Amino acid sequence: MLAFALKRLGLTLLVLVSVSIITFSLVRLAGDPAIALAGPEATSEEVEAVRAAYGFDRPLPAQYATWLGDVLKGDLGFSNILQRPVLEVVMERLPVTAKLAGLSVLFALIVAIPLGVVAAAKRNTIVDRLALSIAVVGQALPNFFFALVLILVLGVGLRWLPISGDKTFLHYIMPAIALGYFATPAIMRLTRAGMIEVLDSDYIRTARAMGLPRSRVVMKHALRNALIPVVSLTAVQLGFMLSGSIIVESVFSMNGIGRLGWQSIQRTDLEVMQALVLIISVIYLALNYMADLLNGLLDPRLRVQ
Amino acid sequence: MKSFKKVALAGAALMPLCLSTPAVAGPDDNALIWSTDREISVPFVWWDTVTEMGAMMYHIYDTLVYRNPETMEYEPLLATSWEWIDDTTLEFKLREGVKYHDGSDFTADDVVKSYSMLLDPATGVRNASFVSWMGAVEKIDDYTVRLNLEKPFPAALEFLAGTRMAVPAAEVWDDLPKKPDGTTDFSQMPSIGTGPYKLASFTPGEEAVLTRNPAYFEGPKGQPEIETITFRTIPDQETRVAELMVGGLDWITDLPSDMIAQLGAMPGVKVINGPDMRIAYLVLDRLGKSGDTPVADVRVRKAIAHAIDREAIAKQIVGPAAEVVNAACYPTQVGCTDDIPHYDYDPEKAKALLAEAGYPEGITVEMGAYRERPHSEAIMGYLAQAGIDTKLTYLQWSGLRERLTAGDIDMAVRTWASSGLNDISAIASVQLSGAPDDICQSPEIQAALAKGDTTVDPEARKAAYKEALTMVAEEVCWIPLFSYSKTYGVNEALEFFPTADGFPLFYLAKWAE
Repeated sequence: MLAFALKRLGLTLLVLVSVSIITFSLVRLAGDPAIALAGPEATSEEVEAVRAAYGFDRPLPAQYATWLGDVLKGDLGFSNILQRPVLEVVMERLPVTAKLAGLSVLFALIVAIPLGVVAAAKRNTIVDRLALSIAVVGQALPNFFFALVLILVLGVGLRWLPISGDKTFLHYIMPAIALGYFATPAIMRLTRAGMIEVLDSDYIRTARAMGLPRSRVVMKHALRNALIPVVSLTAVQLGFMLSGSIIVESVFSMNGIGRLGWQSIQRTDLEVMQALVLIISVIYLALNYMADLLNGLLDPRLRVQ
Repeated sequence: MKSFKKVALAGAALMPLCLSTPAVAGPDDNALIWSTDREISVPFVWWDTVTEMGAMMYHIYDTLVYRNPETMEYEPLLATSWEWIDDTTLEFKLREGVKYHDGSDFTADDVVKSYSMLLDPATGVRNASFVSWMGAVEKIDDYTVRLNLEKPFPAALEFLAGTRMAVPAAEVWDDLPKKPDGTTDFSQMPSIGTGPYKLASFTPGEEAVLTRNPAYFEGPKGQPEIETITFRTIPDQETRVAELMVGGLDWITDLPSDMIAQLGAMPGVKVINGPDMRIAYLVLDRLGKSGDTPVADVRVRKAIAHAIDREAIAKQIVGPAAEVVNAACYPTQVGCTDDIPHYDYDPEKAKALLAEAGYPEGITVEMGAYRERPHSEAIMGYLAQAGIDTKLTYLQWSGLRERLTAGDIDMAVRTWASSGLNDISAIASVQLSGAPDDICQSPEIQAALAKGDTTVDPEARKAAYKEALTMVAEEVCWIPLFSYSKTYGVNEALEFFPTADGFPLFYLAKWAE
């Protein structure tokens, strides 16, 4: 198990380094940071002055080495556009996204698990199909579109919920639905598959034979075992929510790291872009790593790959 | 099943009661909320030049000179009069009895302090070219200041009426905190102005709240009517439109063209179309730097100018308030004149000019663009009808700028908003004076513009610019196309006056009775 854990850790770190190199190069290829920083009304001399002042005229590998050194020391850099330390900016925004991602996953679980259980219990009936289609619609709808439908129906039509901002808990409901709905199909199908496998197993048959009511068997004995893989999937989905929030946060005008990412792209704020990709990657990879370990613990076959 | 239905119905009925709707702005509480997708990071235009911050500068602060947004004339604001002592000395008498938001008196010391900070490179003012014309500022007495310019600068009044020339109280510069690198953190500057509104709260990137200044002096801006003005950043256009529909917002701009008709039909909302100082123009490779290009021939450039129906593009694609522009400037700008050669829409003449230049079969050229794609596509459509096939290279501005600087593109659609300055030197002298991305590169045009830029006598100055504009038209290396127009979606009860420089002036706005 230790060898498996170390091997996975090594792979995770390798992915992390690759992500940082790719991001570092891509953000610099996408646009001239000096022109962006100088602003649209700057003269050529001003642009050149900015280029020299911020070191954008140095070779890329040299710029990367400096940046990596700072990151390892815990310094994510200074945003020249916002004139503030990057870490401070990100930390200020992280709670909104964390809350949103948490609520989204909660919504996904509340919808997906009952659907998965019902679908497994009523396997291959119309109920099963219906449950599946409810979940699949979530994946098929692009979330910006679904978000707009929510705004039109719940915000403009019924006027039940506030449309934009993140000031109150009510502001989180529509975004959490828009973001969480996307995760429902995966969780629902895994729950269904797990339930079907468990319901067919010997101990369930024994439990039923002992005369326990069906509902109790399903809810207590079967679900608990079927949910084990769902836990690790949910961890991964939570990481996915962090990055998926880019669109949803922009649509609902929430000041989380997703929107910060979008803003940074628009204003070519390289320092923040890099830091965000790095932070989201770290969270995502950490969640993935934990899911791997969990799976490895639960299923010894995975360890000998 | 029946009981479930009952519960669901009861739940649906109770929903609106449980979820209280958020506070809505509007005429009832004499408040106004406006929004765009732009964010403001520092509440002072020296360090954040977004239009939205520029607009708020006019609310929180005053300038020495006021440009009347209706007549475009310069009127006294913090100054009561001014006088050119000589070509490089401008003296102002200041208004007495003006109070800052904190109750302190406005005097010459405040002007001297602000302008000195503005000129000090350590202040790090963005786009310093806007202020570099000022030489030094000098206090004569408590209510008299003198600007000693380094060279004659006839557009001084226009620049002095601009957002950067705001005069905050001198004390705001005291005791500012330091950034980690040891430099002063100007983003922490307190906001103390003399303007019709006070900055009540500010959250970077999110929100700015202004409240009415009840003690505002009687001046050309008049007394503000609306009590609270809130700016909110909402990145998504559809979200802003939805908020306008439910009354969460009272003012939005840059409406998507497909939504204008729809929004105009909504109850409680009206659509306003206003002018915009931004103009679009084609730049052409006059010198043939991009290789063996047909546009190096002036007849081909004239053909291109005749081939485009600018009137149709302006009115049908850009918007009702858009206008055809013939000179390399926005028509209201001081020094701009329409009395120069015109190239009217005439596809037959365009074909004849092409044939005369030796291209009876037509030509193929590459055209760069970076802003509104439909505008470029309309231009391409008209050019194709005259036998000019274009390959569109659509780039980000930084990419197009690199191509122009390298000189390897036949022509490009460019735009310029003059930073809202109503003086020709803010456009022609910026775009045609030999910067690396200027592909006209004409020493004669540059000389005429330089003469205009430094001639204080108004008539001689106009004559110099007319000469430059005529040369631009004859060389056809810069084909003016049309001015933009701006659309606003506003609460039906709001009386709002749109300005061409794009700065919304809410101190002029009010709620209809």
